[in-house]
Amino acid sequence: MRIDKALQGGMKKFVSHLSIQTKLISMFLLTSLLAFFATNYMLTNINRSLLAIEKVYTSNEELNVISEALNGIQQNMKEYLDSRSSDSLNGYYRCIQEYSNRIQELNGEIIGKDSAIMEKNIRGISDSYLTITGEAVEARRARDINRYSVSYDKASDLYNYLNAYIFSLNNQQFKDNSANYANLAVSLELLGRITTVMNIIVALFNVLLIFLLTRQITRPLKELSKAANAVAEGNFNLPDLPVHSMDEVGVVTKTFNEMLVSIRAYILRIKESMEAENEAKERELLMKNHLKDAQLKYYQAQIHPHFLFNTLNAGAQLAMLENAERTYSFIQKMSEFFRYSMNNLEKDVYLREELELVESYIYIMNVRFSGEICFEQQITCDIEGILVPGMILQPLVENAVQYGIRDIDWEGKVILSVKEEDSKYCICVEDNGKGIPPQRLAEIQKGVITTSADKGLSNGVGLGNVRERLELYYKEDSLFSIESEGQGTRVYIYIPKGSLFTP
Amino acid sequence: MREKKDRSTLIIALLMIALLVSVILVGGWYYRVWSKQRVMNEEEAPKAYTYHCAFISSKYEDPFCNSIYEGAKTAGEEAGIYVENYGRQLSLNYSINELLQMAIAANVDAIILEGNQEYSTVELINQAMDQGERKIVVVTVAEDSVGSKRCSFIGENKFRMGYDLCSQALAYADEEDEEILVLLDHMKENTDNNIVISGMQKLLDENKVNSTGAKKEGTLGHSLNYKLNSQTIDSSEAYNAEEQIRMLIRNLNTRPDIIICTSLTQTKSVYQSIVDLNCVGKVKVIGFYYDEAILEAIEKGIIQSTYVVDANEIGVQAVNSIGEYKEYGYVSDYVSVDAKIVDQKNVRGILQKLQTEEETG
Repeated sequence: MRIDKALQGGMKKFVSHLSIQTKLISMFLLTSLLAFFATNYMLTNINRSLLAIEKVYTSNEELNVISEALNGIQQNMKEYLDSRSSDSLNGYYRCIQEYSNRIQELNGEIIGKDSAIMEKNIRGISDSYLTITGEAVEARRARDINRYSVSYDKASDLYNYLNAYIFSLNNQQFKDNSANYANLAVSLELLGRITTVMNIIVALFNVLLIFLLTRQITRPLKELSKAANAVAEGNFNLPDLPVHSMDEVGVVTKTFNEMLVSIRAYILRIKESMEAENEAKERELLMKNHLKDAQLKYYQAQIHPHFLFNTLNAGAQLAMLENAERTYSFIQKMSEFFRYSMNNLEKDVYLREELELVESYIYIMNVRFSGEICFEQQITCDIEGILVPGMILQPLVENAVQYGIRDIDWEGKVILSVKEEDSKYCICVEDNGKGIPPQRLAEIQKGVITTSADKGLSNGVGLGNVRERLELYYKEDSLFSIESEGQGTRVYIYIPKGSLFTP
Repeated sequence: MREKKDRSTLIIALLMIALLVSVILVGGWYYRVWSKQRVMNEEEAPKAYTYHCAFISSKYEDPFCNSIYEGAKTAGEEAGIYVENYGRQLSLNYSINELLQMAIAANVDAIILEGNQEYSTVELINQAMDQGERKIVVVTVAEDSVGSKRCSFIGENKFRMGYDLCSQALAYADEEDEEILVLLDHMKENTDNNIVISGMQKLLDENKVNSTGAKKEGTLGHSLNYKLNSQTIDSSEAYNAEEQIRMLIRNLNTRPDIIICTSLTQTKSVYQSIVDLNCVGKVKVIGFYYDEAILEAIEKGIIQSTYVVDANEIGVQAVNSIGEYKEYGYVSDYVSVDAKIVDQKNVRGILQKLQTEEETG
């Protein structure tokens, strides 16, 4: 079974690797062989019939030879009886020999057929005739005139009977043979017709066969041309054309399929690069928009900081002159805070600097609100060298102070923690404030509300802005999250380790 | 899907090739069968026989002889004896003696011979029977060759035949009839002819009628005088018999009232003559054996009745005798066969049977 399959597979492979030229030659050979076989077969039949026609009158010829030999015997015997010449005796024996040989070929059996029975009679009478002629010749040798004359008379009678029989048999056979000849002629004519019909049938079969087999060759070509037309019209999403053979058409089909795959891949690559380019441009535009938005807000607020900054410096100097240490320190912190805010919004800064800014902010807030805010830092990892976008922590702490712990009856507490989590650094700003109502929380999470700061209470950079800047810088989502369950709010920021922003 | 289509195309192509080769082979086969049956005229192998028997008769065309031959041939086929209608195939006509010589020279196994009284025939019969191991069994039929060494004779009882023929003549005789003429065949042995006349004489005696013209007072015929005459007709040569019979009927002095025939040839000649000479009804005819014309004549009343010997049975008995002789070395010297009278009462059936046989070949 396996061998059969293997053979079948081998055969199929062999056939599929034949070239079109070989296939066409094989087809031509096959049809020619069929035609040759048919013609040759009918020719054999024609030859057989011709041979039969040639043999039709053979039996008559045989009888003529027998008749001649019989005449020879009779004449030689008569001559010998008349003259006793050795020539006639030799002739007599020679004729007897020939006659006997020929007679042996005639039928000697009792068969229910007229001509066969006539042959038997001829054989029987011939035996008697030869015996009597022998007796006559012997009597002539012995010079017994009476005996040889009686024998001669008897032999003559039998000779006449034999002649009559041979003549009649000849006639009978001639009649039969003529009928056979006529029938053979008719059969030959029929054979001619059969041969013509056969040739027509063979020709029709061959045409049909060629049609069937060439269709095998032309069908892939047609499919190929159809597919080529479709491609020419711009349809590249065609299914692969089946490749059944490895002839010229098969090779072209296979190449066509590969070409289609290449074209599709090329188009895809172009499309992807264009999309990437568009995306980059879009992102760039978005970033610029956000920056400009933030910048605008800061520029709006810049009038006060610059004025305040200069004023605060003058205030600090005045405090120093008056030896008011705490006032000096306070004004100094405020000055640093505003300077940082003004200079580092568009820059990347170290996380450490961001933490320092938060401390400054808390200090200012504590002075402002008489030390009500309890701030705690929990840093459990090495934060040296971690670069982050500027102004991302202060807004969070400001948010916690402004919306969390402000106006609460208990002690407000803000905890800022930094820890390492797998591939990220997690920064969490937690407060024990009044929390965010669920509806509002959901809106903040969706980005609908950006918690833009109230004038006078914040530096104007909202949570939404922080989140968007983070996502744009790191090209990732889920870097910002906010949780609030009843009391307290936790805002998380994740800084990816592997994709550290490089300035 | 495509592979399936390709495979079916391949299968169709292979089937087509197979069909084409089959068509060619069947065409050739059909031609050979046809030519064998029609052209080569090759029949079934002819039957082989054990013995070769020559049937020799002087009158092949005679239905009586032909019936004997047919009977013998049919019986021979069953018994393994091939009965050849000897000389029939030859272009020339040969006499009985010549045919006998041929058959003896050809060394056949047996001869069925329509006998005669010629010495030379008897001699040839004896020659055939005296050949020692190559003895040829000779059986005579219809007519015997008295004095020959033939092993058996098959034929009708001549005395009975005369008796029956005469009884037919008396059955159809009326008060005006006076002369009854019996036509005898000169080929037949005198003894045979004499026996036939004896049979007739016996009947006439029984009915107290005789050839001298005694008054009839018996069971048959009428109270009239009948003269029973006989005439030998020479049928050895063609047209001889008919000419003699025509002369007899045409001559008012010799024209009988009733003619009794003892051979088929005579019957046919008498029938033809009385029609030609417008003597229908004037001469009553009792025939011997029949052919279609004679049966029609009986139906029309031109011939009153005919004496029919079962010729077929003669042939059958002849072959049986040969078979018996070959097997046991002896056989009955004489075997008689039955005869019947065909007249207007039963002629229709026989005529129909004959016509049917002719139609069916």
